[in-house]
Amino acid sequence: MFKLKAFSFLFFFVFHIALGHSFTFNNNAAAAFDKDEITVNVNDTDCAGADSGDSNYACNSDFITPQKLLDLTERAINRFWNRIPTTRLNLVRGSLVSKGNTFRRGQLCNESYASGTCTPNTALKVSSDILISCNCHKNNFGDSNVGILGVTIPNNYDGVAIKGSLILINGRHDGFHNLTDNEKINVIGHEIGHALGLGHSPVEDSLMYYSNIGKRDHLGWDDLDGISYLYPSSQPLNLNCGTVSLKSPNDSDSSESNSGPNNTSFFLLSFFSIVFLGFILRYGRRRFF
Amino acid sequence: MKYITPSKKTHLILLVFLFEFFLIFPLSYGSTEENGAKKPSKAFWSVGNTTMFPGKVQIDKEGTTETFNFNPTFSFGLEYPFRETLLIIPELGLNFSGNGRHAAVSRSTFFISTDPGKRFKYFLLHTGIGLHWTFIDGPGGTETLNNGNSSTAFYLPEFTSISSNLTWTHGIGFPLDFMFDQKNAVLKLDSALYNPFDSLKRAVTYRIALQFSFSVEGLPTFFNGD
Ligand SMILES: [Zn+2]
Repeated sequence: MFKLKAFSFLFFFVFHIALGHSFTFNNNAAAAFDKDEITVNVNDTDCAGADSGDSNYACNSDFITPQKLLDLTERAINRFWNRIPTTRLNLVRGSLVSKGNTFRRGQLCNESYASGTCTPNTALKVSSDILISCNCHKNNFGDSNVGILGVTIPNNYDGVAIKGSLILINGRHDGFHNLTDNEKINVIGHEIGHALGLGHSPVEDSLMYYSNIGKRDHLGWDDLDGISYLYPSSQPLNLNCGTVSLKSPNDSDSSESNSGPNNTSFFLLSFFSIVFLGFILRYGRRRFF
Repeated sequence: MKYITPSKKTHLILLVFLFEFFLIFPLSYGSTEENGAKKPSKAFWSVGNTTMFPGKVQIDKEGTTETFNFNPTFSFGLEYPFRETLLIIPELGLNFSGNGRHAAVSRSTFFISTDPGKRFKYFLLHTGIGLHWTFIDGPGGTETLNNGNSSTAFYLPEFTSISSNLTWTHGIGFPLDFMFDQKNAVLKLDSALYNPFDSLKRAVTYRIALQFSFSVEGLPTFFNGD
């Protein structure tokens, strides 16, 4: 099975080893975006067959279109990160943005993927929010296929606040392209987790586990805890007013809405409450009104 | 997929309305001077288990989601009668998620609510607004984990993070007169709905608990009107 890979933002820091089983961060300050609503944009560059003559950044002949990448990204944010009850975080589908070929050809870090350290390449600094681009550079994914599907770093910081994160999806090899849509969504979801500041989880059922697992429809507890830790909700001061889904019956994406309490139970609860309040009003009206 | 994003103002108005309804409304009862209920106020404590977010979280490689999880829950509360069968029930409690999957991270939830309730012949219903605070903290330091083809030291959480959530609470209580020597044991089934207006973040917790009530001498009886 292919392994997911993301570089963490590790330079400058000295490590000491401790044991634990929990979510982790990719930086030592628990850095996170300093806003609640984060847009995820996709570079409009097309990777399929691009630069095929160049040994450094030749792309595979097959890769999904930027539009398809954007659609899968939206499904990833709504399947995973927008479903956490105890966070204020709200990810928003962005748009295709014209970043030229820089993000398709560039290196994520000044070092190669194999070096184990990462000094972010300033030429690929993301000015704000999250940018996803396909990319074919051999130093990001290996000259031949070593199974890396995507690499991510927050590469724009202001103190401990993340301002911008970059996700590069492997267009050099056919590994990502050959995944099913569901698996692609999981890979994108995992990389977005890194973009938000999470490191890996030692727990197999977490999306932030380092490796792709068999069946993935939901986040694991570790993912929930990690995002809740970095982006705690602060209701009632800051209500999660995010997404109220208005689905039409023929919505092709309806498989995304099957977790958590469904609408039927929600409306039953509402009905129960309204009937009950009716009781109170009825019994109380002589005194109250 | 289409989304609308209601404005924060809309939610604030709704919130103020609900708080008025659930809190101010029963309080204003007590300020009138007509015949109030003569039942004494009671205090109670409860012990039970809360299942957090059933159906929301994957717990194995096969994609199984939970319908039950173990979070011991303790609470303390009061029952103020303000009409023959109507009550206001302030309650505060704590549930401990313990370790298990989160060996290094601890997670617990503190909650308060002030539900109006109504007593029927065999059960008591209540609904209202609650506030849930989720505490997550960790040991700090780093953990070395696989990262692609090598391994990397990742950072563990070091401080305590607190999420606060407004919840819509519901509950039903069945007095267990037949089981215990006293008449004051109640089987409680409660649920709290997180983010009722957000179809993605919406989630429930449910609690099954045993509650034991006792009368409190001199407890203020705001709603008796005398
Ligand atoms: Zn990763």
